[in-house]
Amino acid sequence: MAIRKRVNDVLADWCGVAPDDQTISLEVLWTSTRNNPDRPHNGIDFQPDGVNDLRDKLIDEFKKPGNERKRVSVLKAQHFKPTGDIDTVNDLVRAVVVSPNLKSMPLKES
Amino acid sequence: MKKLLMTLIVVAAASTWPTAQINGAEVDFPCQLTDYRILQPNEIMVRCDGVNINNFAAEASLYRLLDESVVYPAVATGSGSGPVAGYPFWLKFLFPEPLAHTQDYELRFSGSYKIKRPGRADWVTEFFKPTRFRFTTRPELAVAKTPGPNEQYLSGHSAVQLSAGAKLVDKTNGQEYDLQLASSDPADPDAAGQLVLNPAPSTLGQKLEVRGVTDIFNQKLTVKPAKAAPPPTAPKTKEAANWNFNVLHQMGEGIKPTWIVDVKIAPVLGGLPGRFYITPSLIVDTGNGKVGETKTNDIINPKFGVSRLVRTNGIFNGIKFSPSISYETNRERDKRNLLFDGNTRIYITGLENTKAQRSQDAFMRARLLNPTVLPQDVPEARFGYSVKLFFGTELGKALTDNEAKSSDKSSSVIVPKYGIRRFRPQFSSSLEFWRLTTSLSVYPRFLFSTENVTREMDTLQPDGSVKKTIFLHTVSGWRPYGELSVSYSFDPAGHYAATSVYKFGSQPPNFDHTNVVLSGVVVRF
Repeated sequence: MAIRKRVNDVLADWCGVAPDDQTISLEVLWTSTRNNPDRPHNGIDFQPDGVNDLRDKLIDEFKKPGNERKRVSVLKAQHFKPTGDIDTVNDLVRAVVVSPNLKSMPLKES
Repeated sequence: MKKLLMTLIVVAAASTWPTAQINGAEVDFPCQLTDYRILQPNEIMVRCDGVNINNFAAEASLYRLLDESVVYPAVATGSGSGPVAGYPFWLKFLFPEPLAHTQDYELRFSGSYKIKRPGRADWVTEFFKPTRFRFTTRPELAVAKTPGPNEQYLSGHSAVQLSAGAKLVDKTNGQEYDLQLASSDPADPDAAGQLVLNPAPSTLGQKLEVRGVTDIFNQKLTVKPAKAAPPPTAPKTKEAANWNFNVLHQMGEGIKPTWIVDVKIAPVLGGLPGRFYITPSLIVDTGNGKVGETKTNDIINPKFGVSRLVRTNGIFNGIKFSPSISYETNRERDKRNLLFDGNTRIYITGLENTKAQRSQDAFMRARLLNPTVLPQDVPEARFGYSVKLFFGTELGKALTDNEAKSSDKSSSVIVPKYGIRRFRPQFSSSLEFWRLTTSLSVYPRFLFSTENVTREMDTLQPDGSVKKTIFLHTVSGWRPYGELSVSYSFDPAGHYAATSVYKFGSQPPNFDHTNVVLSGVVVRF
């Protein structure tokens, strides 16, 4: 599955919405979905708690067994706006794409 | 004559532009076309930003470019489709013949797509006006900065092939870096043409060479070095900074040399297992005497804490645990308090709806109807509110007996060491109306053990003078503290405000009773 698709799936789990506009700021996305019935986060600030929650979910997603694995833990809360330069969904996708590769791990047979 | 010939060519090119099969009015193509990839020699993928469209179908023509203004007649016709299954937001244009390498092109296309418009649950079909997009097949890679960690990688628009031992050589210092494809999936447009360096450098020189890398047209690639970027701006306040060092010193004739050190170290460290985050800090605000009118504080406060957010669905949106251990001392080391602070915040749905959030909601609603609308085009919300709930404990002890002196230094008392066991709920709320903000913070603290504090009183001396006498006192039970503030912002962003604060109750460590009103001007950036 494409990295962008996986990032958008993580965003849906994070804030309840995979955005139609990939140029949307993550902070705006987080604020505008604060009362989402599936993933409510009213009162939880984007920085650092929202960002750390997103980071945790990305780490879980991209360390799953498979061919495409990424060391997303290199991304820290301070790399996101306002202190860092990761602002939009496109920025996040690019950040994941160029994160260091992890060795591929065979999928477990179910 | 040559100019006339070029004009004829341009007119001829324009006349060959295909027209869409129109069924109703044509609209502007809604996508912002911001990036492209060439995954196969006869295929270009273009990213659609701003909206999510489906069932894209287009007739496409390809034109060669001489330069920005001269377009040769169409060289190929093809078709557009997408988004490709599994690769959202990428549109594919396919041509029967391969593109030429080292060539600039203009892609023109028109057709239809499906989109979800506001107020409609179903996807509607729309036909769009002819649209242009320019791209190149030049065999080039550019040095780019990874978002976040600020390391270097190589970025191009064409898929690449790496031979064994592919390297980037920095000829300014002889350093070599192994090259890796950013993805093992050759069909992923976001990752195509992106090369990760190992080890990842934070800077690269201006003379670079790639070895063992060719593009999809089998051309050897060159590297364009990155342009020097301005350094990042510094945080504006001590509170916003992770590292803050401020050393002041003054000396001169007739003045005793003085110094002040104001240090804050609060790095945000990586996560621990179990989704805990380490939050250590060190605050040193001490010195000797005063520099100018700046009087020294005297606190040295190392603190080690972790935090963990647990999100839940339903009325409770989450809970955040932030336990920390804090050691409070000073330069003379006559205060030695060790405290465990078990702070916990509870998030409940609907308790926060600030003016800024409501303004942003209005902007998002307006943007759905009109994608070109800007935040300043939408009226700012007039009303907002926020309620925050915390529970905390303060557990620890004063490690030593301390000598406390009266404010005029005329008397002193020994404060024996004591245990600290406090329950500290906190309720904070704010109500915003236009530029007026009312805030209330209440700490109904309960002391389970008796704590030693000092009090002061005026004592009439035999010679008629009045001196301060300090004496030992104890406190326990409820010791509430609160602050009620009203502020008025002079500017829409709230940088400058007049404020009045009413403080009431008592606070640790000495639990002196407070009942004051403070007024002033606040400047925040």
